[in-house]
Amino acid sequence: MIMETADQAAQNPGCRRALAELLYQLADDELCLGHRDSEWLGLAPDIEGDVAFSSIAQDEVGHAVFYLGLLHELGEESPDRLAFFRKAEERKNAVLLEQPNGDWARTMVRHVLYDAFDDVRTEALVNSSYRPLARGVAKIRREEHYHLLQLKPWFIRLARAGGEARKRVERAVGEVWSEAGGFFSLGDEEEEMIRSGLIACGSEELARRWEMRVKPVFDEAGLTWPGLPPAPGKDGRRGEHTEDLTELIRTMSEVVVTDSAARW
Amino acid sequence: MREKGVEKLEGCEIRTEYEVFEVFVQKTQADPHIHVGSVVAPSPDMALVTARENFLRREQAVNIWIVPRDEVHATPYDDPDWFAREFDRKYREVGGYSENGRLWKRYRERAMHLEDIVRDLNGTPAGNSGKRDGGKGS
Repeated sequence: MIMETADQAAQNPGCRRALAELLYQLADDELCLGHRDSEWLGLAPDIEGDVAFSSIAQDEVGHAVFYLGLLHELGEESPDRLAFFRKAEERKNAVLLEQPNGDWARTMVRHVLYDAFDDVRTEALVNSSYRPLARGVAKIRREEHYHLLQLKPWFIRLARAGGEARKRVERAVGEVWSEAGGFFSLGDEEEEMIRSGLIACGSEELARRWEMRVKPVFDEAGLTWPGLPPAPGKDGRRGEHTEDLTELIRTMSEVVVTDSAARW
Repeated sequence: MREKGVEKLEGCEIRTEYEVFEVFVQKTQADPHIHVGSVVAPSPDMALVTARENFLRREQAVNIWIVPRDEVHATPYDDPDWFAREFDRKYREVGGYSENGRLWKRYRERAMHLEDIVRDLNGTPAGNSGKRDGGKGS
């Protein structure tokens, strides 16, 4: 069933619930990563890369705003309220994305792995039965293309440079792998998401497609493929998170909570 | 040769040092590439990527060139005679042709009829019954 508007989606409560669930996952992933990216402002290895990476941070936050806007149309709170005032346990991002950046190598490794996942996930959404989502995702995919153009060479360059850089990349891969499996979970509403045609495939297929995308990049970087990551200890899609997310929300909303009624 | 900072690694060149790339931006397909500044980058592909965000954050373009600064050949600043032009070359400047404006105006105002075009092609100016010799190749 094709749904052109939020009203149409709201007519079926099961479908409406699955759609909101999916949108929270999308929004929270992008918001967390966008915020973490922005923490590199002024600190990236070179000034040109600093400017370019800040643009990526803004893009990710922009994508989050789009998804939060769709949620607002469904009757949820305003994007600002959703971004700044939801508690950690209400958020649906993958746990890996709430973790602190670590060094530049770890930032690049996590980003490349996530971008490949986001590519696979948005690909499964371009024909979504919820048309406003399908249309927005088509635009987002065009912006994500540039992100991979920028970040993939960094990943490969660091890994192939040998010495300290390679050591750090290998360490980063080891560190993020235990949580990377959290990307693929679609949470409790997975079945309904597929039944309603909101997303084209389930988490197992997403993981399989992701592996097909990422393995060649590992080959190019001269890294050993560690195999598909295991299911994570905490499933962010079910609201399970770490202290890192609490800290992230506190930092991100530090200014707005000083006077939540202020106009900007 | 630019060997500094270049290492061979598994048959693949990996530069470990940055170099300067000059950046040229083309706004539309009808425009020339205009020099806008430079970036430092470890490779041409990275230079292209960072050039986009450093020079086109808010503006649209259709194409970017980056050129290693070492590949730019330039005239010397300390040889002023390179640009010496000591004698009168006014004839090279548009201003040197004071008649031009008036002639252009007359040319544009002249209504072109089919007969005029045929006459032009035959090399016979309008209102001139005198014979002209050929035209082509003379």
